[in-house]
Amino acid sequence: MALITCRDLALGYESHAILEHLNFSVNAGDYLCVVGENGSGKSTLMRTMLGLQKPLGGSIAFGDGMRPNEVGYLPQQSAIQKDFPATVREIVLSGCQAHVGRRAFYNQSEKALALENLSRLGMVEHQRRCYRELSGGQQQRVLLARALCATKKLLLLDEPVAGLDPKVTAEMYALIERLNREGLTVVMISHDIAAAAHYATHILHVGGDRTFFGTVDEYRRSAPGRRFIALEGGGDA
Amino acid sequence: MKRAFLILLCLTLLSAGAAAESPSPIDIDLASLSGTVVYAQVYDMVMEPELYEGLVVRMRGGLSYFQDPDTKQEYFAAIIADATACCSQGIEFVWAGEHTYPDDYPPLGTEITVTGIFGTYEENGLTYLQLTDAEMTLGGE
Amino acid sequence: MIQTIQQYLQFPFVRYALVVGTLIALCSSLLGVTLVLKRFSFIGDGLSHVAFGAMAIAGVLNVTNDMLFVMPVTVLCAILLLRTGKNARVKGDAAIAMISVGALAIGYLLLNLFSTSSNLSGDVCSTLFGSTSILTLTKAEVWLCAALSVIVVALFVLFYNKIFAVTFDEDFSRAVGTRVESYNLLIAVVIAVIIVLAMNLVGSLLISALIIFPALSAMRLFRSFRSVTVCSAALSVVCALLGMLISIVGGTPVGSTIVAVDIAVYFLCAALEYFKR
Repeated sequence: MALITCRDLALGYESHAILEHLNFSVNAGDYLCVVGENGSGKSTLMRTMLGLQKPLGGSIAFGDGMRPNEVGYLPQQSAIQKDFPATVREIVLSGCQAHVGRRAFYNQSEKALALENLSRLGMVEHQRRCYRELSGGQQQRVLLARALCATKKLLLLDEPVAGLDPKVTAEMYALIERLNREGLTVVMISHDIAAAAHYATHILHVGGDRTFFGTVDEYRRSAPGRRFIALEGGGDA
Repeated sequence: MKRAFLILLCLTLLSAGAAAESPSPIDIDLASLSGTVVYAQVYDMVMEPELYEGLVVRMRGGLSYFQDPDTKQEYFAAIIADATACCSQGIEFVWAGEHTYPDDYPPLGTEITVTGIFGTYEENGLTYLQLTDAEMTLGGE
Repeated sequence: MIQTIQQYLQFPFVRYALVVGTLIALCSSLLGVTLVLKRFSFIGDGLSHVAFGAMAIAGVLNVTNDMLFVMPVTVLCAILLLRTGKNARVKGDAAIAMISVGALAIGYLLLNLFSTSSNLSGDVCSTLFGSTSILTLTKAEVWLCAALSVIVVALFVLFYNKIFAVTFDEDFSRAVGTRVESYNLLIAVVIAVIIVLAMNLVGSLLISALIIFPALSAMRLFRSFRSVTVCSAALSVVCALLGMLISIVGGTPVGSTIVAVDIAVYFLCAALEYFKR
């Protein structure tokens, strides 16, 4: 049984569908990249998978012992966060909020989990620093550590390398690849077809005249894949 | 913080003169209090007059005069404006001895200091406050 | 100076004012950070005008304890503003502006037409600027203020971690199953309660200053959410106490004096931040 199965999914806002007839599934250990042009509905798809908005039609089923709120989400940075006075530790700890339930405060094991995930991403020495004073790459690591506190299985990443310079981008991709090899399933929205084809196991291409879902090899051979790679990926694909 | 302390210090020095010791028989000396507290104190006296009945009160304010057109009864009061200058409170007083208005009184609005015994009286079903057997002096001493 | 203050402390209403004022200042500072960061500052401002309108209606209806009427009305408006802010035809900002100036105008109109009070401008002035309200509370109001303040502080401490999470990232919280709408509702209701309480201290026009300045000052100096919150609470209490003492001793209006102290402290904090760099 797959972790997530989407059947005949239709997405959009207020009965205006952006995407329709979406069928795909994510199995444990997969690394799925969602690619497509701007405005093609990638972020809407992710928001729908997270339960932040309702699908217009079809269904999303969670399986394999996965519950909808056991997802680790890395959103795009919001304007609020740019000047938010909070330490790295405070933010990562908030990834444990689902475990807290009715308790008012975080307990020892939650604090240990936060510390463990910080060290996993090499951010332990920054734990007392202020979030807004970190570099873009460090901020993404903090948000990724928070996402890791919320899940043991599935990461949903919304353009995790947006705004990062090439070196930091490469580090970020390596980090995500390592987490995937450590057993986490990854679903990532990306602009970067070249990187998607390099790191991912599966590709979901949305928007345009037709949707594609399959393995990376199948994608390379498909019509939208070839066109998109030629268009955006350029020579290095 | 430092600046605020300086302001506080200046204000304290300014009000130190007003807070000079007054003769003992006065129970409530409104004349030595700041405008803010005077207003609150008079408000309290209006709300709970029974607590203050019989006490000797001294206050400072502008002289005010009112004559009831029907009864020809004359009323005198000292009016105090509060800090925001929009709410004024006054207490009526009865000057001890024989005096006639306007000959014996200073012009209206003159700052006077009045010391008298606090009490209430009823008129037409309403309760009014008044300082009886009052002494009146001109100015703020 | 100590002597002068001691002389004033003999008045029971001065002591009540200091205690209640401190509690109100403590409450109002707690949610300041959230308000500033969630761009809710305008909701605070709008609600304070609603509270003024409600106060006017209470005055016209001759309600004995204003707060028992003003509180539910303001809380209701807070909930409505939060709901309409999401998906209404009128944009959030515009809705708040409409409600706030509307309440102000209607409130003043009602007072003018129907008020039985002999001192209309005095009533309006003390509602808008607080004047001496904090010094003229009845015993019942003192207890009500104290009890509500304690409840607000307790709620804040109890939900501190959730409030942080929801303020920092609503979407993430929602994705992991936190009931974000409930916490937003809680925040709005608590803000409404704080505004009604703070009307007694600084009047409805100056409430936003009381809520926002300590938070902004603290954000200049500190880097973690917890230290900003603690510092903003401490600054707010100190400023309110200092402001009240200055106004009591110096005879200045209470509300604007407190806000003036808040502003002075803000610039002091900004200067400290500047020199630290």
